[in-house]
Formats: sequence, C-alpha cells, structure tokens
Amino acid sequence: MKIELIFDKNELYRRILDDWIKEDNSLTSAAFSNTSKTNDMSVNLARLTTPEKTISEYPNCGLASFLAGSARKLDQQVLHEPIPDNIAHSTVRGEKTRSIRKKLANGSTVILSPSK
Amino acid sequence: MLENNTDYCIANFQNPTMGMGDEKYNIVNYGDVSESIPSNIYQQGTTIVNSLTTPFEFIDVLSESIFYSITSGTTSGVNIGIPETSWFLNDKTNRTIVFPSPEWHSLGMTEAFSPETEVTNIRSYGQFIRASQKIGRYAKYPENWDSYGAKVINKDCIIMSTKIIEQLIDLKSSITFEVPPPFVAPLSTGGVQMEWEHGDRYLEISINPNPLIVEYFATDRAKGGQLSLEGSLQSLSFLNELIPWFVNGTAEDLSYISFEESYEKWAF
Repeated sequence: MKIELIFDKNELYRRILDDWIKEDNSLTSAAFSNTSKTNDMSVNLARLTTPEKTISEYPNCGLASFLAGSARKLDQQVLHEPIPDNIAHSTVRGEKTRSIRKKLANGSTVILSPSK
Repeated sequence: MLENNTDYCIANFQNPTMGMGDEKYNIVNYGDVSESIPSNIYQQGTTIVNSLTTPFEFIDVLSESIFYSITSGTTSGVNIGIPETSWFLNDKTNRTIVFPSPEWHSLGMTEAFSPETEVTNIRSYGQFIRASQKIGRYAKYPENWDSYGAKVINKDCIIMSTKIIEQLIDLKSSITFEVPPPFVAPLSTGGVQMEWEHGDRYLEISINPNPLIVEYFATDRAKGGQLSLEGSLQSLSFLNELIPWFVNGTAEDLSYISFEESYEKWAF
C-alpha cells in the first residue's frame, strides 16, 4: 500500500464515545490515550476516508477531528500507516502526557455525535 | 412499582418521617431528580426490593462477593442487609443501584434531608450520585469498549472512584463553598478519570490500575504563563487541598499546595 505524506493542514479522525463528551460539547482528554503499552494513538487520515466510513463498524461511536499540525506542535509524529482493512489508518506517535492529552482534546472538534 | 430502564439510588439518608435510630433505607428516584421531585421519595428498602421485577444481585464491590442474590422475578419478603462500604449493582435491565457508605449519613446529609431543604439538596447531591452511577456502569463495559483496544474497567479503580465521590460529598458537607461535581470518564487503560474545568483552570484526577494509582494534574494560566502541577496522590485527604484550590485559589497558589504531611496510605 502506498504511504501518503501527511501535511500539517490535514485533518485526522479519532472515534469517540458519548462518555467522553462534556455538556458544552468539548472532549475529555481521556479520548486521546495511546493504545495500551505503546506510544501510538490510532487515527484516520480524513482525505482518504469519510466520517461515516470511519465509524461504520462501530455503532456506539462518534467522531472527533483535529489537525495533524496541532499534534506535531505537541512533539508528536503523525504517520500514515495503512492496515489491510483501512487504507486511511494513521498513527499519532509519541508520549501522551496529561498536558498533551488535554491539549489534543482542546484542539479537537466533535464532528459526529455518538448514538446514545 | 419501579419502572424499568431507570436509574435509582438507594441511599441511607435518614427518612425524616421516621424516628432516630431507624435503619430502614430510603430511595431517591434519581431519574427524576433533575426535573421534578416526587411528592413521596421515601420508601423502605424492603419495599424497593419487593418492587424489582427482574433478577439481580447485590455485589460487595470491595470483596467482590455477592451478598444477596435474587434469582427469580419474585422478591417478596426479602430483607436486605445494610452494607458497611459503598456498593453498586447492575441488574439485567441495566439499572444501576448505588449504595453509598454509611459515612454519607453525616450531619450534613441529615440536614440536607430536613423537610425544608430536601428538594434543593437532593438536586445538589444528585449530581454526585449521578457521577457515581456512571462509574458503576463502567463495570459492564466489555473489552475494546472504545474500538481501539481498551481494557475492561478495573474494579479497584471503580471502588476508588466511588470513594473519591464520597470524599467530595464529605468535603461538600464540611466547607462553606460549593464543591463542583466532577465530569467522569472511563480510560482505555481500564481506569477512571475525573475532571473539573473553569476557564483556564483545570483539575484532573485519574485512577489507573495495576498497580492502583491515583494521579492528579492541575493547571492554570498565571501572569507569567501556564502553571501546572502533577503527581500521585498518597491519600484521599489530598483532595482537601486540590478542590479548594480549584474553587477558590489562584494560579499562583499552585506553587503553595503542599502534600508533605504524612497521610495514611490507600487501604485495600
């Protein structure tokens, strides 16, 4: 599979749950954790997928988006790492301190609300 | 009769219509708290159990043992024991019933349920109970509940989170300013997170498993830039420093928060 360049202006999608959305529609930093025992947080590169496709197999999930550039400003690497069933799969790689997770949350927008 | 698919809280709040020393439990129909208060919110614990129509178990989350199991739809004549610690259960219709610890039955709570003030205080405490109920529901989340490989929420973390809610209620009863209820959220690590946020001021308590650890992250914008403080909490008593800071402190006060006193360690 071809590896795409991800530019700072590119949008990234992260699936979210209703539990992670506050009353004012902002997100908790809990939504931006690395996968257990890794330095990686999975996202989808928006230009290679759609919001609906990203959550299609996860009926309880909604979707948040943020810019690759905002993650890079937090000392994160943003890499296109496609997997067999998901050509848009990408990774935000780096330690997610509490401060970084909070900043990622502050820089994200809910674009699809989870079904309750 | 209780309705299905509604959350309830059985609380050991003293029923003002009963005499002192009466150990009967009362029920707060939590689902109605934020909107309208039923004219008679008090029922005996046995009445509550009798009215449940689906099988369920009362689970001691501390010892992870079942202390009362109801296996059929008939619950007539059941007498439930009074738990010494916090309890919760999830029945088969996804109702969550939370048993706060007897410590909740403090002077403040007794006052809270005086006839003159009960409605206001039910609403106020209801937000904490709602948080506790949410945390109880996390126990049912399956592996990979976040679609990214999240772990099952650890029971010790749920218990500790419930204790923190109780500590907040105790704090609320003992101080003169308003303690805001936390926003609670499950963590993909199998832990639980609590947050308070107002403008640039932010306080986060995360309870993580294996080994159980409670950590804090406090940050605020000062004249000279962003100030942050983070570390692990050695006991729930530390909340008595952090919460007042969040409510009444300044960003610069973060520099003066001291956890140097020798508090007792977590008891598990």
